[in-house]
Amino acid sequence: MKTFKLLIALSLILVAGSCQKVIDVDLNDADPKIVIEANFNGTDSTVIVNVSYTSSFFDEFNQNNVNNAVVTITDGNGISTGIPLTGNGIYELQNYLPTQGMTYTIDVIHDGTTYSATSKLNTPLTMLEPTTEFYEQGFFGEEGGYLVFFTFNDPVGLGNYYNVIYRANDTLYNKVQDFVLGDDALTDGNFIERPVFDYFEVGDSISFEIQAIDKRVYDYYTELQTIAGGQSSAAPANPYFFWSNQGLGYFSAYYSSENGIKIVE
Amino acid sequence: MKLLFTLVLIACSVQISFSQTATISGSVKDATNGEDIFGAIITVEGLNNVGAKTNAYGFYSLTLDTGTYIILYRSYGFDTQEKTVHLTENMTISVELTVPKDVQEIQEVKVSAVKENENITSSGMAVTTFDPKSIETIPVIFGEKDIMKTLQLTPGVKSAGEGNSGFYVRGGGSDQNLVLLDEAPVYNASHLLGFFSVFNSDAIKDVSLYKSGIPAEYGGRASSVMDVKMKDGNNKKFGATGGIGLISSRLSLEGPIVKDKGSFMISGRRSYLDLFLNLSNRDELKNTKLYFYDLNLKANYKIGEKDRIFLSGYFGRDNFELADLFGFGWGNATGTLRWNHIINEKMFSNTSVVFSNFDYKFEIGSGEDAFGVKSSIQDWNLKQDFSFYANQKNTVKFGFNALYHTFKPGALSASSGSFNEIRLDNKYALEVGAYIQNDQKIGNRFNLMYGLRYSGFDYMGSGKAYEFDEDGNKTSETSYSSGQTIAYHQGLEPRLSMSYVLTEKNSIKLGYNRNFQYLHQLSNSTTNSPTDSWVPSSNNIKPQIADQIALGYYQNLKVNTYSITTEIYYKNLQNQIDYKNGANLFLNNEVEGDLVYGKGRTYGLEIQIQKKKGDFTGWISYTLSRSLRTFDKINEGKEFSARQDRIHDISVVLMYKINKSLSFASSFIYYTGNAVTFPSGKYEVNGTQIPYYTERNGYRMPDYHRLDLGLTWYMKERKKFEHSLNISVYNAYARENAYTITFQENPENPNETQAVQTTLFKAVPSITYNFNLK
Repeated sequence: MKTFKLLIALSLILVAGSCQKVIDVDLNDADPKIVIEANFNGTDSTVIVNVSYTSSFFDEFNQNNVNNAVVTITDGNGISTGIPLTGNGIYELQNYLPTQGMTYTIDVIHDGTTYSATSKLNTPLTMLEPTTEFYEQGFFGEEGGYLVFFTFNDPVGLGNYYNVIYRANDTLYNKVQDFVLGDDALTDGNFIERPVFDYFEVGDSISFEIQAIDKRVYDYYTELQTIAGGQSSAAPANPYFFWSNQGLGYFSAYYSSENGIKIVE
Repeated sequence: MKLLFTLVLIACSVQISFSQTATISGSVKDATNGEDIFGAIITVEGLNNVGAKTNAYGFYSLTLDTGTYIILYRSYGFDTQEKTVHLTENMTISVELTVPKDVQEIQEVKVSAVKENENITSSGMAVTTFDPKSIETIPVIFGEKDIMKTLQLTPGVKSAGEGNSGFYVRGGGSDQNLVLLDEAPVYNASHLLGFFSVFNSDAIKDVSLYKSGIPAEYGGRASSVMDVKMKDGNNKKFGATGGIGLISSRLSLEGPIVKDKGSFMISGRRSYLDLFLNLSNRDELKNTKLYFYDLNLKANYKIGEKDRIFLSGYFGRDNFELADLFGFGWGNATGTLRWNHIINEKMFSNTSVVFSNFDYKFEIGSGEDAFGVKSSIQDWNLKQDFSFYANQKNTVKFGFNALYHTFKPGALSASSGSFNEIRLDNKYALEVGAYIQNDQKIGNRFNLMYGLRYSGFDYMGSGKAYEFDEDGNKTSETSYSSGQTIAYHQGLEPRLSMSYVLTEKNSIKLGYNRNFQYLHQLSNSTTNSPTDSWVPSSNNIKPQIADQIALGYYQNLKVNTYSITTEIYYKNLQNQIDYKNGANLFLNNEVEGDLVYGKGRTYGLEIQIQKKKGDFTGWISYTLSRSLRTFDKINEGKEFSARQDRIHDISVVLMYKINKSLSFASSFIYYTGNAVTFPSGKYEVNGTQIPYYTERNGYRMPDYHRLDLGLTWYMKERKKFEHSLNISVYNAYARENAYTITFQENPENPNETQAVQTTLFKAVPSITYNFNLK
């Protein structure tokens, strides 16, 4: 759908040369809400949970960390393991061995309320070696360069969802807007080759990490992206509540795989 | 239905049996070009509340007791004609009304020519009628005369956005307006992402907008009916009109096929933004195509005294192309074939076959990675209408239609590469309607129009029906064979409007209507896009139902120089549609699982003060209104403002005739900002700041206001040629109205967030040259 935004933007520029300015908007302050960001990376057997509260919209961001929550992870057999606090609202558990296809539950107890969420550890996807293509001129006539494509084989059968983040030289592009999200609804069983829309030069190192995520996480990220990217949805709203008791944030259990190249002539 | 029909017949026959009567029927036309005059008023001198009105084809029928009468034929902008009639048996009188000769006198003559208090005495309420000529001096953006934008300056009609030709009527959605062009529905009435309407005003005869008390002959949309009629073409002599503007140029030709028997009209318009782009030195703009065009065609031919055939067509398309990187195009095509038949002096019949198609497609990339998407909606409608002029007090209209819809919601095609071909299920539906309506005069002061419409909607195979659980997850699917009913919806739609004439100068009117809407447009962006898809009512989607009651008081002042219209209304909406968070409306077979359903109510007060005579004309309109929605799954089930909930809305239109060759016009608009959703907090996910929302549409955009100015210079007129030059400025004081407000990280301090307002148009000057070869 990016193309439409582009078209709209283009046509608006063409017709008028619109203008932008920073304005003051008076916003209410909502009661602080709990935010729980939980990831279980099956590939390196690590669970990281970050617990905090929302803050005022225009204030300088301040994490409002929660250091006194009780956090546990429970596997599909009902076995619970505590996740200890490491500081600054971060709870971390290492060497937690994954089982493919299992659904995990994380519970966070704070101020007498229990917030729970589940996530399924899906079939891993294996990142293959990226490919490159040289473009003299860019998509919109700007200066070109190397486009880099991440590649992998989508397993036959619907239901594979992925999130790709990439690192160019020493910069990690892992913000929500940078997520390259995909499903196999239109591409089931195919060899997938998708570019990152940035031009690179000879000598640049680019690496991709693919996370084989749960459908619910894919849906959540998709919703989050429309909100975070400031797209002009007619009625923006919070992404659906992943956690019980209306906790914000998500829980993603996934396997990841990485591959990278250095661009040569 | 049967009961009503019987009642109507009884009501009519009561008066028939009393005395010896005879009927005068015929047509009323414009003497200069032979165009039918719609709504010309035929009255009888000395008789109060007796008369007839011409229908859309200029036909009238008036039944009187036998005797001698002076019959008066009047229409706006024409000289009144008198005929003395010795009525002993049925007779045919066709008249051609002339435009007053001396242009100087036009204003004066109009005063006496129109039945000036028609607004007081007619039973219909809340009908806004314009012919493009009467509003040509009103300034509009880029100087493109646009009937849809001028309608937005009237009370109860609101623009869908800056410079946008989409509109909301009395708090309803923009998909709740039935837009008809010569009876054919137009599914996307805009060009260039909404900045221009598809109606080229050179090809348009008149436009009527029904906001309440909608006549029973119309059905299919919940809020309003906008009925646009194309010109028939001059059947006396050839003529050409045209214009050159900043955005587009227009040319229309018209003339007789056989003098006084048939005529044609052909009108074209094309924009040429891309020609300017090619001159640009920016490479990225050079290979860009960006244009739209419209083509209107119409022909009619009279076969004998009683039959007439009309053929009209419209083709319009928008095209965007950016080198071979992508292409995006959409367009409407409509066609109408009509047969008018005068069965006898009291009975008029019209049979129409109507076609309408809207489609869009886009293509991205080139070579082996190219892929494209196509989508369309197509209608075939067979329609039969009768008008029965029972007697001088009753006019009965009845008819039926069957409309077959084919939806092709989308197909993705790819030459190769990573995309698989995908084709969404086509959907089929048959929409039927039948109606009867009587326009009745009771005594000298009371006019009543009552009717009933039956509508039915058969959503049928071949195709799949899906069932969803509470959370919108698919639970089952069922396949249906071709023609098999998947879901059938139906309803009865009562319509009523009545007026009571208090004096010659004032009246009160009451209207009620129930409307069913079986097609729904899905759109979750702030601007209307051609890719917004239409979906039929189905096993999951129920038809939208609107019930509206309206009450009005009408007053004319200073010998009908001023008219004051005050109306209040209350509208109740059922089965409204909204979307789940993150709904996927694109290429999704199971889109119905992403929809949520609720109800709405709108109410308001509309006041319009209009000055209709003199060198100085115009109006002031004020609307105080609310538009609210309630959805179980949105805003925790609490009622919230619809986006178009603009509380105050003011427009002032002034037109001043400085002298014979100069006219000045201005319009000023003010409205409360749209209801919007802004965040009330923020949090961080993956190192990204995410806004936290509390209530739906709980905030307001800044108030909108704007002044447009225009000056039209009618250059020296010659016998065969007249021309004019129009200069206008849109947003004359360069108010920076907010088109969008977005929130982003402060570039100087990423921990802070700032609000950024985008303004689309500051002062936009334009110039247009128009000519007319007579």
